[in-house]
Amino acid sequence: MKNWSDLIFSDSISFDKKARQVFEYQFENNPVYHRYCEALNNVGGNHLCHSELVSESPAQNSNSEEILKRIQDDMWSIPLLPINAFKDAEVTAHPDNEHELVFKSSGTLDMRRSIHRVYDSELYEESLLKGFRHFYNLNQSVIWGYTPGYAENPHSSLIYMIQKLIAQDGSGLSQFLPLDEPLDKSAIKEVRENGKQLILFGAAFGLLDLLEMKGIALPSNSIVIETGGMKTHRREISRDELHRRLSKGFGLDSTRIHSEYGMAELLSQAYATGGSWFRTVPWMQVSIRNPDNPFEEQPPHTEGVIGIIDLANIHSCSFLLTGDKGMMDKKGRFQVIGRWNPKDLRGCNFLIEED
Amino acid sequence: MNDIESRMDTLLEATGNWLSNDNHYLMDAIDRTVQEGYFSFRDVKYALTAIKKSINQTALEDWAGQANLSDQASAKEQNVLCLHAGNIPLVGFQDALATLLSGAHYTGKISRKDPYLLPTFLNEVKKTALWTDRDVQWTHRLDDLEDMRHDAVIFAGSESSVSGVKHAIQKFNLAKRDARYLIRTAHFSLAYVDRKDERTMRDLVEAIFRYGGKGCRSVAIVVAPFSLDSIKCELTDYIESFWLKNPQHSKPGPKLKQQFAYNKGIERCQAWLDNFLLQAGGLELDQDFVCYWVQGDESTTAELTGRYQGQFQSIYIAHPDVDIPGFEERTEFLSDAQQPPISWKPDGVDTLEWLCSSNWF
Repeated sequence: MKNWSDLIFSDSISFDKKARQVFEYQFENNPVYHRYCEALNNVGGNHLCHSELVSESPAQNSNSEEILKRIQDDMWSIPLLPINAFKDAEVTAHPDNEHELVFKSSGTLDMRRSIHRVYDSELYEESLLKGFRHFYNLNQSVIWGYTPGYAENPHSSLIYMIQKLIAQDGSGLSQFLPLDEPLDKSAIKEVRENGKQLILFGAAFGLLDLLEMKGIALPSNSIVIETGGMKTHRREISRDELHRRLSKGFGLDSTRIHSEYGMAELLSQAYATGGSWFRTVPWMQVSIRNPDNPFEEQPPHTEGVIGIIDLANIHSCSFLLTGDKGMMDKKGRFQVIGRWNPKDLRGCNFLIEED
Repeated sequence: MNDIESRMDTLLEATGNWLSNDNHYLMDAIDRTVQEGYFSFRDVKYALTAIKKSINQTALEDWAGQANLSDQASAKEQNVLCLHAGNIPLVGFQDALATLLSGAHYTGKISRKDPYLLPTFLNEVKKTALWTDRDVQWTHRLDDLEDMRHDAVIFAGSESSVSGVKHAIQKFNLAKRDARYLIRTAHFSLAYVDRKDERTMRDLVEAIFRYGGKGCRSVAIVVAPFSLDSIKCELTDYIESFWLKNPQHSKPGPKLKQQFAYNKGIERCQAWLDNFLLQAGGLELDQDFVCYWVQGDESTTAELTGRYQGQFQSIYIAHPDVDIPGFEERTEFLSDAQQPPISWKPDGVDTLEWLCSSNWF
């Protein structure tokens, strides 16, 4: 098997070149993605009730060649697979093999959850560690996770990530914090005395609940990384308000409140390191797509659906259209504005935009 | 003759004049509507025919009775603002008629997506001795109405658009502080189809595909004991036959092709109809021109109806013997999907009754 890690994390190969190779591999090996790309290329060729015959048509080979050629000519025409595919099918380039890890999206009992079968756990580990080091000095950090532990949540990609970050720290100071207990002043003091930087991970309302138990000032060089979850079935808060409250509650400058953007379906993360603009790791790219035409990119500062190319997803699907609403600036940074909710478009709507 | 009878007679007369074959104002409005691409001639004709069929003396009397309209319980002297949608031809007609019948003064914000048709009816109303320029007013721009403070506001919108609409009403000072709001959020309908006979199939096709499926009475979810796969070829014959007579006016964007490809990717059964898609399951309800097929029975229908409470408009059944447990009061016949009686209740609320209820302040 090809050593994908060398390609994906290479500094000397351009992103475009990597993406083309990854596309070719996934187009050949991922049956869901293959069928999706083939069908996109041949929608007009179907007739009413005979549409199911399309993939068996003799035109299939020439269709594949046409697709591969087009992608060679134009990397940006690589189709993005709607991320719901992880709920509706097994999205993998190794359909006949065992997978080392299974990540599931969070969700309530009646919600269908995304399932990401991770064929190569080492590659995820490499991605998350390299990605974190791209933004932070991991060797000088103590990682605290105010989240449930890995043992209780073996299918959470976020908790797996935090666990791996914790495991990197030989000092023994990094840890999952006990839930429903306020921060321990002496533990904070110990981090300070060791000359390390404290990085505290937590979901939006988890961190707010922690503050509610007992507001406590963290050392001024600490960083709090919220991992999203601003909207639950009970509570909702804007990112700005969340950051304001975290900054005040932990006694930190607002630039010390960061955000992480990741999900079970992705093996790479983006970080906003002060402010609301996220940046990606070098093997990940984001584009903002026109919600009415996902094949088209939105101009800077125009809202749309977030599309992601995550090359670390080599063994599942790297080319994904999320269900998140976002916006990009001219520098390639992006904001996550919330969930894209087009459900209300259909029917007898009076649209105020008319005016 | 009391006030109500007088209003009823006058509205019947105005409607009769409006729909008469020699009303060249209406003919011009239809021409412009079609020429300028708002709706197809077939769809406009269908909407007008449905209104014509639904309005007569008995229908209006029944409606007034159902709404407990009386000289004591009316909206006389109240100012009512109707923000009309424009997704299908004349979708705001019932609100305008209910307002006038209630005795209130009518102010309409006519949709720019259906700009010509409703004003021709309102002009006929204004020609009568009962309603003056002051009683019946309309515009295509909300800011034209600035500082006209109304007692009640009626509009249909998505849940997410409600705050925006209320903000605009506040911005232009269009409602009194204690104004009442009738806000409708239902945006699709559901059909339980337990048989495959020709009549039912034709009614189903009409219910799904009329107006390109864009009405809130249009069927977006079909529940049937048989699978889409087992019926799609038969059904597409009926669809082709419908489209031969009623070519679909509005066309989907590229997103529909993506949905088709997605369904292929995950091996979901579907029927690609060029401008429309039928698919088995996957009820995302996130785009136009998609109808979802769910294999199930009456209890499945009830379960789905419960799940989409607040979003669904009507539940249709093909035969009076069919019961949807818990929703007996909300069921209608499939054949009425696009031709509702004038007294039908959008979002389960009788507009006339709401206007005439004594709870004004």
